[in-house]
Amino acid sequence: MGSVVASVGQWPEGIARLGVVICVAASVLVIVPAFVDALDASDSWADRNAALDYAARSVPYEEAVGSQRVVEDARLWMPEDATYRVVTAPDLQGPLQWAAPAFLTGFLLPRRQTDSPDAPWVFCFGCDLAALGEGFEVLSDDGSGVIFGRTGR
Amino acid sequence: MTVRAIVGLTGLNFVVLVVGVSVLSAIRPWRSWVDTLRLAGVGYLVGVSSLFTVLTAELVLGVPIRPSTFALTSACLAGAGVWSARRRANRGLERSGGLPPGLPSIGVAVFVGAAAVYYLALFRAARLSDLSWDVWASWLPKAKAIYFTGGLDPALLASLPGPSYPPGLPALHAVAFHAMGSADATTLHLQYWFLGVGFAGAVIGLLTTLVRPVLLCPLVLLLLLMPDIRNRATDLYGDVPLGYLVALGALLVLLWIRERDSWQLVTATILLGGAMLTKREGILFALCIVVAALVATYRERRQTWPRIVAMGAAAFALALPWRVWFMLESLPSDAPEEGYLGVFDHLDRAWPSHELVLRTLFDYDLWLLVPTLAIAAIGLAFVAGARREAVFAAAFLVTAAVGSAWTFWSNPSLDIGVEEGLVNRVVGTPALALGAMIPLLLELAWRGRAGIAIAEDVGRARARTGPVAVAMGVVVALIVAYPAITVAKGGPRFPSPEDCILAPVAGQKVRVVFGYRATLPEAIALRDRALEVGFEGTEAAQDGCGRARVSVDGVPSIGVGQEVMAAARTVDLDPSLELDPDG
Repeated sequence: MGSVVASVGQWPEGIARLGVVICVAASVLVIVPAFVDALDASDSWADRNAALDYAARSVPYEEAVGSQRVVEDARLWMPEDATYRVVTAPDLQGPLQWAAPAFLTGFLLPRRQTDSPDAPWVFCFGCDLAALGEGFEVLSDDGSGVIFGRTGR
Repeated sequence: MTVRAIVGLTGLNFVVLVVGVSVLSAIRPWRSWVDTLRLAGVGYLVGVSSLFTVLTAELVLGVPIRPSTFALTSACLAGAGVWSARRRANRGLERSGGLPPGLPSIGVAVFVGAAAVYYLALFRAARLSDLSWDVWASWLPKAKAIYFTGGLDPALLASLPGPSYPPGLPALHAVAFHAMGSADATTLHLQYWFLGVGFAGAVIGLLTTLVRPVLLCPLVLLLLLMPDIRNRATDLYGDVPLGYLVALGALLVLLWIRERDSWQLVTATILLGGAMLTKREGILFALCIVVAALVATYRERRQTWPRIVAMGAAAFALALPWRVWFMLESLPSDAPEEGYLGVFDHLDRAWPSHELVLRTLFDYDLWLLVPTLAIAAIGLAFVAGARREAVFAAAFLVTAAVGSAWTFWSNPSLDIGVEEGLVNRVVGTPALALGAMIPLLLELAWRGRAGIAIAEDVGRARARTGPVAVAMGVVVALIVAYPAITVAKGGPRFPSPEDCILAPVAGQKVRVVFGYRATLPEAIALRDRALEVGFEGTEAAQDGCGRARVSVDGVPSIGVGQEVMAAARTVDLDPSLELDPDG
């Protein structure tokens, strides 16, 4: 230890060692509050996550799919081998236009999304219901503009 | 979200560990049990990378990813690793005299205990997480598609963001779903916890014989505590796993530059191949490592450059099947929006992109002091005579910063700002890699030109450590104390459909429930049966916990509810009484 202290000030070994000591001291000084912060943050996230309900944890955001209620109804309606399509209003903008199809894919697999008009199950995002045919049966509509139903085919 | 899912995931990760340690044994012969344990973290990430490579190749070749194929794949990898190790005249495991002398000093024990508490806290936070935006939009659909079908559907990929993103992680996610027994994306967060533990173990394992504990312990803990890594450690994106693989690859190349042990370069190759199959940025950062290694070994270029270039080429070759496949399937390229030379049409974005990356890289709130300490460590190591190592780290810093900036510069649709949280996801990889290199650089700076082999000196430093029993006691006390404190605040919760069943309360409205069903058609059949026998007002609706409930709601009291139940039992219905919170 004595030789180490004596070497401080010598170029380059002493200066390098002094630098190492400063680096380690700085890291120790940073670690203590960072560790406390990390535990606080983890605690806070653990409490927050434990308090989530089924919809918050397992159903896509309203912002992306328009209505959690309707898409959960859709999951409960469709058998696992079902195919469905997503029909949107021509002027639809925002996440419902560019995010909803991918979110529905992730949520509803193994049910398959398709572009085929023959798909028996349909999500309508502000679309013209009349265009879906006379036999279209609305199965879930919570007034959000997102409708789920079944065609008459 | 169940104990069974956690146990299944733990089992899967044990298999990954066995595969990785076996593959590593083919690259680097086992020397002792302690040595194997020391490098278990490296082995685990080698297992992850190996599986990324083989599972991706299987997907590309049309081999379905199912539990049976995964088991066979793992067995083949592990078997080939052990067989290859034996062929290399490996004499097998030697009996060891136990832990290295003085390893569990009290100071080290405090840091080990702190790291353990940190990971316990992370586990607790991750276990019941919800899913973030890109997980819903991209990572989860790919994983579930592989889980349910066993393969890749080009049409499905084309409908998702990032269709040509490599499938290494989604393939691992799919296997994890099988291990957990369902597509439980919530518990899947714990897969990232295992990756984090593996990374920490790998860095410590690689450096523990080279770097004295007084340097290694605080600097590794600092690395783990970087707030942005901590926040994203279990978020189901690819960025942090990419960072782990690139950081470990960079550290191994740094060690190879110093020690020239072939296994280091071969292991780095596997890890960088895995990085390329994690995210497309893996190619970029692997290139940064290759360039940095070329610069650092310029003086010995005749001996080193062919090997470094071979490493980069071999790592790229591991990712090549995927790239050929997505091109043959005409999926959109993962190249920059304007092509690789398009940056010259957007020179106005050059400086803002670099400024954004540098500003982010030195943001204390994201990475604490890590990048600053990295620069200091580079300077100190260089001054102390560890020139090649310092030049490698410096060249990696420069190339990784330029490379990170290039991702913004070359994609004009990306905002040059921090608002979308993209830049820290990119910069996190170089931050992790630099952080992993700091302990060795500072050790080299401390050693200077003294000429004493690091291992000898570190060994002497260890020999001055304290009583083992006390140290172990400190670790155990910390590991036991944290769960005890959290359990005292309330036991762990395991969400289930039963959460939506509320016991009736006197004086409040109740509902008579005729049953729960997994689907609405089944529930409607039960509802129709109840209606037929006269229970007007019976409805079938989602229960808010993933099932469909058939019930008569708004029953004015428990007494009336019991009368309804008695009547229902006479017609072979099996009702129960619950609180109606909406009543």
